Amino acid sequence: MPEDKLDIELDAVLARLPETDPPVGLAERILADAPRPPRKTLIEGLRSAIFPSGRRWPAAGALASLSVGMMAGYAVAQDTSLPVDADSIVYAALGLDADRFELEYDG
Amino acid sequence: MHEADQIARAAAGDERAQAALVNTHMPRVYAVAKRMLKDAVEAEDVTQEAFIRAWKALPDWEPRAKFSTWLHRVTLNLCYDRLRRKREQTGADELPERVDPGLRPDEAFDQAQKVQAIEIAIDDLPERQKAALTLCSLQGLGNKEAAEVMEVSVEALESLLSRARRKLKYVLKPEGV
Repeated sequence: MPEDKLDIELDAVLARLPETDPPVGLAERILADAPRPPRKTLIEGLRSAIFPSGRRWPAAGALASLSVGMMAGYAVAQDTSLPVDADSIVYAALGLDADRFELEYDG
Repeated sequence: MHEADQIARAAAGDERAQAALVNTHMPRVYAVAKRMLKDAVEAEDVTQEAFIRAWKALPDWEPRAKFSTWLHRVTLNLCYDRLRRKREQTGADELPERVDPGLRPDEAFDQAQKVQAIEIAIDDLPERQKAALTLCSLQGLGNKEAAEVMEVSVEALESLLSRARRKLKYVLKPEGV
């Protein structure tokens, strides 16, 4: 048989060699040895939530400003000791003495 | 995903990247090991060991070579180590090359018998010829990549391949000459 025909036949036989399938579960066993991500502390977790991939999250500044504003607003509201009702504000705005007006109105 | 990205993610513990690497490369690594060692259990051990080395190497991975080339080289070296240990245990210097006379080709050879004869002939090839043939003809690696895996020149690889094919063709010759 000519050499080139033998080459063709050899390639054909090599192509027919049975495939070697890896055993079941081998991939899982290999993956069980794979490196695990390092455990994060609470601060690192918070930082990665706010700054994912180490980059500054664009909304982080807005969120921080909102938080500071709300805290300040809450603190100021807590300092208010005088009871203020809506009517007295309206009377004061109209230049009326709210207490006296109420007395007169009540008769 | 680019291979470098995939490797970086796998090194950082990304399970999806790790699974992708295993699914892509493990079947071929196992096939090479099985062909070289002729033993399913040993091939499994070598495959697992090759990936353990890969997991260790990933954090410092520098893409000087393709990951598949590196992994095949590690696998082949692990196979050579095992074959060397076997030879030392049996005291044989080199496994003898033979062509099973019972499977000598003749006119009546059908395709299944040819496949079987070639399987036996491949098993009997010297290690480096078998490696060259496995990488190029069975795993479909190009000559350049296979030469990189085997750490030889392309010319040396082609010589190994040529000698391997000559022996296999002998099995297919009807007159057995």
